[in-house]
Amino acid sequence: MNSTVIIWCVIAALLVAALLWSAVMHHQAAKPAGKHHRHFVEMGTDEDIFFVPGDRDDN
Amino acid sequence: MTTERPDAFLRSRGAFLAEYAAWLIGCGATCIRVDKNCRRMAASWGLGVDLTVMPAHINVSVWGADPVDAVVVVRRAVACGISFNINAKLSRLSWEVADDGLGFDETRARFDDIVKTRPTDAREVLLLASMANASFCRLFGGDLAAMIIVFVSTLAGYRLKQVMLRAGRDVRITFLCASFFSASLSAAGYVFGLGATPDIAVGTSVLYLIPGVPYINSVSDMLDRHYLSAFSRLIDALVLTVCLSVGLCAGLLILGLKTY
Repeated sequence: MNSTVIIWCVIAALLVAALLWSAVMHHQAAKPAGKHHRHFVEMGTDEDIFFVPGDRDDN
Repeated sequence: MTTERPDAFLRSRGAFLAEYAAWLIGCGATCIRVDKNCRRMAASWGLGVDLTVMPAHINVSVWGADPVDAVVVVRRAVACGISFNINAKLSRLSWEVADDGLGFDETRARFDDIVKTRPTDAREVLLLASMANASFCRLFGGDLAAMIIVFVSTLAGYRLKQVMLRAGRDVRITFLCASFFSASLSAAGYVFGLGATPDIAVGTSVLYLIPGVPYINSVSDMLDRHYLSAFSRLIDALVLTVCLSVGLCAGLLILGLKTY
């Protein structure tokens, strides 16, 4: 594939991604404030998954 | 009206005229339009008025029978964006005051209603701007393929502009990004060999970003000898034009197009 075509496709993909991202963010912001906000992907600790009696439960 | 104290009468009219002028300047009126409208209303209230229109502020001086007892009010120009709708309604209001003898309270109430005018729906503007830019492409001799390319690239670039401005991004960065993406997308004619006039598609793809109103207003202000305002508007427009040119050139350079 020609390098110009690849660059054009990357630019177009970037723009589409940016517009989709803004649309998603706008949609999230439009939700009622009291509603629980759920992340699609989250980082957690092992205590979140394995709770052993005696662990501190303050996180 | 007759129950008001003379200074309260002057202050209320002066404050109203300053606010009126601040809105009129903010929605894209020329200095001569602001001056004429304010004089028209002040004359119908039996007042004299002088205005100093600065790039970001309005200075209104109002007086009654004795010019020594003038009231001076300063207001910051309202950053409401160019709106021909509000502009026309405010001008009509000044005629209603002058011709129909509209009372001050009624004028104030109508003014408050006018400034609440909602802007045209963003999707409607997006679609119409894209169609207008595609029509420009046709006017400059572009074929159907070029028109479709310009329509799509304008649609994408203008949407990006709306999103970035809504998010509070700097207007110069916004113009640069919008012109970069519009120019890059419009190069599809070259990249994929679509149509016979890809150069016209690229050339007309960023026309929607040209700040036409500030350019026209700056010339109008210059003719009316409002040089400060004229120079300010001209510089604003030039900065935006440079930004869109940088975006256009960056798009062409990255794609390696050596047509221009």
